[in-house]
Amino acid sequence: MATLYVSTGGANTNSGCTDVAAGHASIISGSAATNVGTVVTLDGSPDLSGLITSGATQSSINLSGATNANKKIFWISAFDDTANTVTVDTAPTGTLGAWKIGGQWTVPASTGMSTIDAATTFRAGDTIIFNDSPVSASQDFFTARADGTGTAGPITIKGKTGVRPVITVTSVDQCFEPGNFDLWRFENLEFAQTGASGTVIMGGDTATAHTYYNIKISDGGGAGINIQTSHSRVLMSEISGVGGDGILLNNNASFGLFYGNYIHDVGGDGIDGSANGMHSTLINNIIDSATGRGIYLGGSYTSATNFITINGNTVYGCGDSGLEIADTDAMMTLTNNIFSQNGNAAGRYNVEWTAGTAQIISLHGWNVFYHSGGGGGANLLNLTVNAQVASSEFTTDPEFTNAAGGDFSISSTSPAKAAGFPGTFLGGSTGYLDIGAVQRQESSGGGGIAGYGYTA
Amino acid sequence: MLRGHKIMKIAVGTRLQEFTQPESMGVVTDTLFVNCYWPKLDRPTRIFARGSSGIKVMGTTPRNVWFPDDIEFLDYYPDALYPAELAVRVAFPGNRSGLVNLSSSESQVWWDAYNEAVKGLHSKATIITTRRDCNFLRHREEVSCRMVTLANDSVDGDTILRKGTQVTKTEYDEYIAELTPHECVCLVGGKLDETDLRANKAFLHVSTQLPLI
Repeated sequence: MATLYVSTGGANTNSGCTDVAAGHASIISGSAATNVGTVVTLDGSPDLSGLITSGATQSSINLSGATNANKKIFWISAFDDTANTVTVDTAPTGTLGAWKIGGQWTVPASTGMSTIDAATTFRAGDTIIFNDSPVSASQDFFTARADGTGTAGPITIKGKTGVRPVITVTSVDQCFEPGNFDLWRFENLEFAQTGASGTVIMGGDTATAHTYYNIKISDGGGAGINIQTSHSRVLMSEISGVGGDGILLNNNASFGLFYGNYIHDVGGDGIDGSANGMHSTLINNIIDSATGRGIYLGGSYTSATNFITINGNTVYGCGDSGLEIADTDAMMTLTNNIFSQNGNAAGRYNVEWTAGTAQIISLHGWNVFYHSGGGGGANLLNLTVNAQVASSEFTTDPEFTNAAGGDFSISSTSPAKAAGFPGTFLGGSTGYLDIGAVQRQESSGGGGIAGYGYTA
Repeated sequence: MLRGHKIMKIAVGTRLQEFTQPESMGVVTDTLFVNCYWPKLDRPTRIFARGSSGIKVMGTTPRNVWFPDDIEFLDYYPDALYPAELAVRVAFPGNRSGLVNLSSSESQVWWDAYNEAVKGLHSKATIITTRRDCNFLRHREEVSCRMVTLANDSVDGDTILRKGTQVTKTEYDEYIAELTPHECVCLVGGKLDETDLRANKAFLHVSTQLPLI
């Protein structure tokens, strides 16, 4: 596995193999042979003792200036720490004396990584770390050319610890175009796309199992993330400022996990499952002030196995429904959620369900549904409070601390306090979990601290 | 690079979505808008009333917002955004989940932290230009229509909808046709007819980029 550091303070003549801008050891000898197994000598007496020469964690070096087609990272198959030599898997054919190891790499202006050879040489387990924000690109910034794997791990693109570099695209193109490649992971980065339309992060037709962890999407013409296949995850991220949906579950999107996200001020729905979204799980998300719905599930759910879990979310202030279920076959568990003040126009509802199905094929309980009646909207359509679990649901104000300022903690007198499931488990009246995405963090008397059933 | 600007008011992360009508913002003077949430507009719209001046914009793209002639779009350092956000979280601790609708005091903390962070950036730090020309026409295409029957009494505006009432729910896809600066000027100035313009533009789906069939 390789780690490549990218920095505006680096240079394209560096390899990017260490997080130090100044060049380290240079390759000073080595034949221009074209045979696999070329031995190259390193100057500066580098410590090679930690190198791994086989398997999923195999070490690598980047030979700047080498011209092997689409391959500037070379995997190390053997080394001699005394002679300061390493044996690489494929012989470099670049100019002798120009190859270097060490230092940071930079992304050339106005291209992004889709046109750089390195983008085609990443392999499963590789990590690319941005030390700071690269220059903006006028086309797709990242284009996947290889899969991550379950054995070696994903291909990871991340920001350096302590900073949050911004990846900016100045057109209708994407910050990430996965093509048909699986298992990429993005972490600790911000994404902005300034187009009139176009998705910020696109899903490939068959690309599965992508992870977006602790990222921020702050600008975009279309959807924030367009997920088109299965097993992708959006975790503890913030999505706002996009013209379309926050997360769009499109085509064959299924088995997704959306956990702990703050999705707000988007031009479409917060999470749009109008095309699909089967078997997905939505936990502890805050969806706030979406122009459209908070959560919309309208895909063609034709099987009784298309179960969806919606637990512990707070959905507030969306222009259309906080939750809208448009398909009669949609089966779900709807627990521990707060839906408040969504649906602010005639014919819109805080929660809207397909006639009769909420109480027939889905489970709902331990929720707060509140609508003050203002703005022309109403609270519930086709859902009867407490129809399945007596006295577990409320239609009174959850009493957020400062919803307009993004603070969705609840007051000490909120009906959501200590009213979630499980309480004393299976029918007990004393709860430890607060309903909604944000817990009060009280040490006793309700208000869970850090997980189900935990009290200090 | 941002010093020397005469800034009287700073708005950071401010929600402006309700200002969708012409001149609905009223007269605005000497204000810097940073990473604000601009209204969703279907066509270029002059939301600032005549007499507005001294407006500067930094960060998040204002789409279809038609500004006064003296508008300035500021360059910014993306690597100073995160320190500024952290400074607000530290100065105003609590359960805040994000940065929306900052008060004037919070905005000032953000701005001061941003400028301080800029001082520490190296000479090659990336500078981003706030986009000034993102204008388009939006088209909504009906994709489905369904009838729902109210199971309970409900309220539709000022009308009480009794149990059994049928309500039509229509789903739309949104399409976008970008405008050139010249088209934009002519459209806002009334020299171009919007209907004619719509008939001759190619529309792309807002998210998937597929053309309107």
